[in-house]
Amino acid sequence: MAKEIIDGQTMTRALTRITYEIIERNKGIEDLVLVGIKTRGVFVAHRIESRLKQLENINIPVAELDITPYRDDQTHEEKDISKVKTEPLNIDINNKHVILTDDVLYTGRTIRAAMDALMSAGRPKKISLAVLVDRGHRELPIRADFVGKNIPTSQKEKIKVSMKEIDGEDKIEIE
Amino acid sequence: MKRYLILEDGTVFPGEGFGSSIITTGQLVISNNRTGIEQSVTDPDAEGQILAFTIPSVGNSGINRDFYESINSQCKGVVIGSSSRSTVDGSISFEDWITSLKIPGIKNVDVRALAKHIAEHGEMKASIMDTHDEHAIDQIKALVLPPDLVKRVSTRQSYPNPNMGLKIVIVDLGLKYSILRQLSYRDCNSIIVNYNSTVEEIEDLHPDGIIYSNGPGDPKDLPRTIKNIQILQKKYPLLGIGLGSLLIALANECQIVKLAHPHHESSLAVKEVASGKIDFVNHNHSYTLDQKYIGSSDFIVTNVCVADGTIEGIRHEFLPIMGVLFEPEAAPGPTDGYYVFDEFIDLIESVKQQEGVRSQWS
Amino acid sequence: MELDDVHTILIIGPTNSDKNVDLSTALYDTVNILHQLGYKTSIIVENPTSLLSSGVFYDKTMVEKVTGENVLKYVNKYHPDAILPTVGDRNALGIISSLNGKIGTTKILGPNFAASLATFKRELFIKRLTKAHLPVIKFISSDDEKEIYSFIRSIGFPIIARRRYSNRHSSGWTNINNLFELDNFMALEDIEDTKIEIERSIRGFSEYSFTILRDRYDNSSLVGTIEDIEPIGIHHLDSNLISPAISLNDSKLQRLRNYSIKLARAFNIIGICTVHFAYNHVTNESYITEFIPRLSEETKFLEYATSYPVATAVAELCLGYHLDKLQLDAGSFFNGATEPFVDHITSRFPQWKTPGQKYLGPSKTSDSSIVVNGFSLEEVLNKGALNDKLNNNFDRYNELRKLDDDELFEKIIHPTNWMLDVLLEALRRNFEKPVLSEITGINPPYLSALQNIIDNSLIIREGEIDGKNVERMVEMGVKGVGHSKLLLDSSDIVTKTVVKNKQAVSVANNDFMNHNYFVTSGISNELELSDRKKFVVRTPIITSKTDIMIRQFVLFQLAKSIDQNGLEPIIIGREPWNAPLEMRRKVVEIDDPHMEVKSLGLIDNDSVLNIIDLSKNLVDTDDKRVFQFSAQEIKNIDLEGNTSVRVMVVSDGENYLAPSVIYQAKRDNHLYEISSVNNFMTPEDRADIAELITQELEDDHNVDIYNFEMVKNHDHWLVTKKYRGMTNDIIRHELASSVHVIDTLVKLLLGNKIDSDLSLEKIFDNFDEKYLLTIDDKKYKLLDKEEIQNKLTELSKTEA
Repeated sequence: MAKEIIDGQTMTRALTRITYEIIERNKGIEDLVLVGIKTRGVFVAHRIESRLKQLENINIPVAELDITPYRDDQTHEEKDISKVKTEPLNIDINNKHVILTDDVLYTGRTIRAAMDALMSAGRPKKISLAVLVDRGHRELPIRADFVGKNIPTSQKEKIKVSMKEIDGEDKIEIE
Repeated sequence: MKRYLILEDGTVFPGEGFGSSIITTGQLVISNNRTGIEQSVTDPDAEGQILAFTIPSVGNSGINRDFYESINSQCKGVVIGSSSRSTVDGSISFEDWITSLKIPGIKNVDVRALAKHIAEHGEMKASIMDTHDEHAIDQIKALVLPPDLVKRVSTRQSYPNPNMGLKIVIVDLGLKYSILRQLSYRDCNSIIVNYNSTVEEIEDLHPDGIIYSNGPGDPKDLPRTIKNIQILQKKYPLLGIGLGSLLIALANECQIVKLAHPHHESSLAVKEVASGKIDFVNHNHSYTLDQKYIGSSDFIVTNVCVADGTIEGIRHEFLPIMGVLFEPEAAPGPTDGYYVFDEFIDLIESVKQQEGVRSQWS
Repeated sequence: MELDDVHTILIIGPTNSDKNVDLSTALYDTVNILHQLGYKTSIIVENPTSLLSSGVFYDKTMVEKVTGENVLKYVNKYHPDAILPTVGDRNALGIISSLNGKIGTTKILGPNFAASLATFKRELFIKRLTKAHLPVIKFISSDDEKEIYSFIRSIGFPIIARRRYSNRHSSGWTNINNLFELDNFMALEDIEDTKIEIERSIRGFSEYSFTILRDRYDNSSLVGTIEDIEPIGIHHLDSNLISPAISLNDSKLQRLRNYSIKLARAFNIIGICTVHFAYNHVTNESYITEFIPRLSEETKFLEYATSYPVATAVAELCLGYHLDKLQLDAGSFFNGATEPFVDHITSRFPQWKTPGQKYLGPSKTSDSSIVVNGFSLEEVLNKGALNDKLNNNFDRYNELRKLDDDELFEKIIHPTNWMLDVLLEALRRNFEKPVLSEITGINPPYLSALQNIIDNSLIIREGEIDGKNVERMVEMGVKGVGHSKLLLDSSDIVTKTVVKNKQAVSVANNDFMNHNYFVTSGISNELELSDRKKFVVRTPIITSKTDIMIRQFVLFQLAKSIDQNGLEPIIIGREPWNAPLEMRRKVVEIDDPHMEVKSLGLIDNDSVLNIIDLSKNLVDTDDKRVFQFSAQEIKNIDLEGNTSVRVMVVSDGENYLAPSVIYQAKRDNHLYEISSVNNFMTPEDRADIAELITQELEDDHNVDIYNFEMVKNHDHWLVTKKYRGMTNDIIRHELASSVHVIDTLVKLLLGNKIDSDLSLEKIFDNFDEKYLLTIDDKKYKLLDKEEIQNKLTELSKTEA
């Protein structure tokens, strides 16, 4: 049975805190670009963007990244990355500080794929990672710069993130 | 017995005396707190103050001694409209309690008229007396309220509030016990120190974070504490509450202003700027930060009062410093603000994590 | 910001049941703001007079039984974007809970399906609350005797029980304290499909209710708290209510506040939710007993108490507005994110139509209520429950005095609606307060307040009134008992009789400023008047539901008209009147239970142009400015006719208008009434009726309203009844007639004239398009011209 481990208020608070940390560690947010990994990472990006706007009155560009074609953990027969066409990023990331956002950080493969996609789209000055949940079990040397909540899990467990924009309510469940 | 509440400007409010029969003078504060008379009267912020409560039928709910915010009350007098002779839980009645604390009180005062007068003319000194002649009014005018309010309420000796978690040093400017209650709830291992403790004394305690507490009076009367903040803020995460946050602001070239309409109300809405989330929290402050200086400072405004736009929360852009003007520990008031303590702990944890990363890689 | 896919809204209106509370102001405010914000609204309503308006705000008005079936029919035909059930009382929630899965993409605003259902289904209520870690009382609903007895064994006595019938209705709760009572309850004959519901009795606990507002973004605010003087076991609306809840200390208050918010979150209720609590001050146990996710008697009372525009805010919150960004009307914003601070006590006292004692229990028996304000418990008790003018407390006192101690004790054990009087008598006889409190469940502060009142009435009765006693008396709220003059004249008093605003001084209170005042004691007056000339309306206390509706309607129309004619409306009532929001900032309203305002001289007599008095008996008949509004019977001939008309006439003393004629016919034991039949009258009838009116008014030379009843007998019209002033027909006349009678009256009182030599056409002029057919004063239908013509023909055919 699914058990709610983070409620809406806690999620809201975690996103606010990530925003404060982004401001704090970047000494200004001029060069920032937010890139959300589809689907829920995009909502995370938008929520951070609206918070930054409220606090600093600056509009930060937000882009969406669909990394399904890049995933190396998929059993697609098609593995030749160079042949996969992705939606081009609609913003310029050259010399920008890109903050990649996703809902859950797990093996790290999704993030690696996202970074591949970013690199093929330009040459960012720096890439940081912000996630709502870090659940451990990394298979690659990847670590998030901004974490909403660290949640220890067994590999058998599933983490389910619900967000208002798509699921009607904010919560994180474990099952 | 008939007594009079006399304001500095000569306005007289007649009423009936209760409690101690001494003549008293203090800064008159109009409190719109819905509940928590016990907390307000024992709050060290009440040092040197005459508290006028505007709620009707004071004391029905009884007096709960578990709600004390300090051991001894510092309040100089209480003013109320109506009160109840007995209590719902059989505890001591409000008037008997005030008598036992040896505080002078005056009841059957038209507190609405009083609140209106103060709202129009600003906060002022007042006195509870037996007569209301010219002489009495001259006396109040001549009286200078002591500027060393914090000195009177701050602990002289450091003392611990032991636990097993993060080590927090609390600089006591007039600390409410409920701040300690919130820290205990979060397993914090706290040490409470005098407001004038030196930087070295605080550093010797190896804190994970420092809290500058709430307290009475004008922040400009505390230049040494402000200097200490300027040094300590570079090394430790700071949380300022009430007076504490004003000191942090002053230590960072922000200016403060006196509020046209002071906030003394146990439930006023505060909005978190980032998320738009509205919380109802206890307010007890007459000063806030000057909007004009905040833009050029290194602070961002994190919370504002919904009703009048007053700055209620700040955060440093680069350093782990946060401050709130309202009282996150409630006591009295809604508990919506408790999250501020979680946020401060998150702030400390995140600093620790960063340091961990740095030391791993260096 | 707001829901962008909602444009058309169906409102579930009130039913015509007497059990319904009057939410007419709330309904008016709701549709008014929806209209101003550009939504298209329709309403299903049983009695269109409850709309307080002739329907200008509505796209469609359906006069039909307010049932799930009819709502579904509408939805299938017109596909509204959303349904709003918040103003439809309990019935609307029943309808919502029956609509699950049947209304396609139509949204439910406010309380959703699950929340609505949980207000009816105890099992669901308990399941959801338990899941959300909210405290509920153990409960069983079963038709299996074994299960029931096993449950009773597990919780022990006392318990409460009721039968739940398959049609959603239920018997009232019964208190069961022992085996004997249990046997009696179980022995009642079972109707088929009946379940027995039992829960642990929390009788004697203190009752509280908390009302919160909540927006779609999970922001909640506590808009008000109420406590019952009487304990659980006596129906909430039969209890004397006090707001704010003054007996809760900080931790208790915050605990219940947090529970309320958590409950609204658990059900995801948007808009408003009132949560009821049982609290035991000895053990500190608390339970949620029920919740009401809609506007109700309580929310109406809180709007009185706090001046917060509850109904308007709820409509906007339901549509997705942010709590801190609400609008009073299409132009002015207000911050709804406040927990209104009140520095006075507002109290609601239940009223019973018939005198004599009524035993009170878990089922409601009272017929109506009166609201009073004051700065102390003693003051509100004196103005309300112990106000001899309302409750004949002196007679009660005399009756109770005759009882011996044992008989009196009996009254203390079995609570009646005389409880406060009984307690006064018990305190007079020095019964011990702790014992009284324990037996009655009434908390000690109220007993102390009663004691204070006794001590004071002793002072009055012994006639020792001097400056000092007066001070104490004023403090206790003893006012309006003939001592006002003394209070006004005395030079050295702590407090005197003054008028205060209902709004406390707070940084958060400024956005919904209004002019609601009450007479109380203090050192300064707050009444602020504009320099416009004044038009005063005085209203008596009104208790029956029909009269309340009429008062609501008449006051609103009067205030509106006075304002539009350039004068300042001042409404002085024995109890408060909550004007619809659009009027609330324009009208000065003063609650004056003891009618003292006049002697205070706050309203400059010269600035008052006119006074309309709604009471049945006038005090100051010599004042030429006073116009008596309510009907005085002048003629009453006992003559029955199958067909008759009721004509309303406004006269300026010389000429008159008869803009509204109601046709009335009895057929087959049914009474048919049709409004605005002016347009269907033959020229002969018009001439006849006009002639009769002219005759009747021959000797009257003042501005006045008349109501005639005329019977057609052998082709001749005869006047059978004549009233000077306004009868209960006013709402029907006003709603049905395109000529606004009340506005015309105000204009005439201000000196305007009706044109002389008007044609019959003009006298009976009325250009309505919809006509109201009423059957037996219960069923209402709105028909168009052709349908009415057919009905009239049909009725005249069967004429005997």
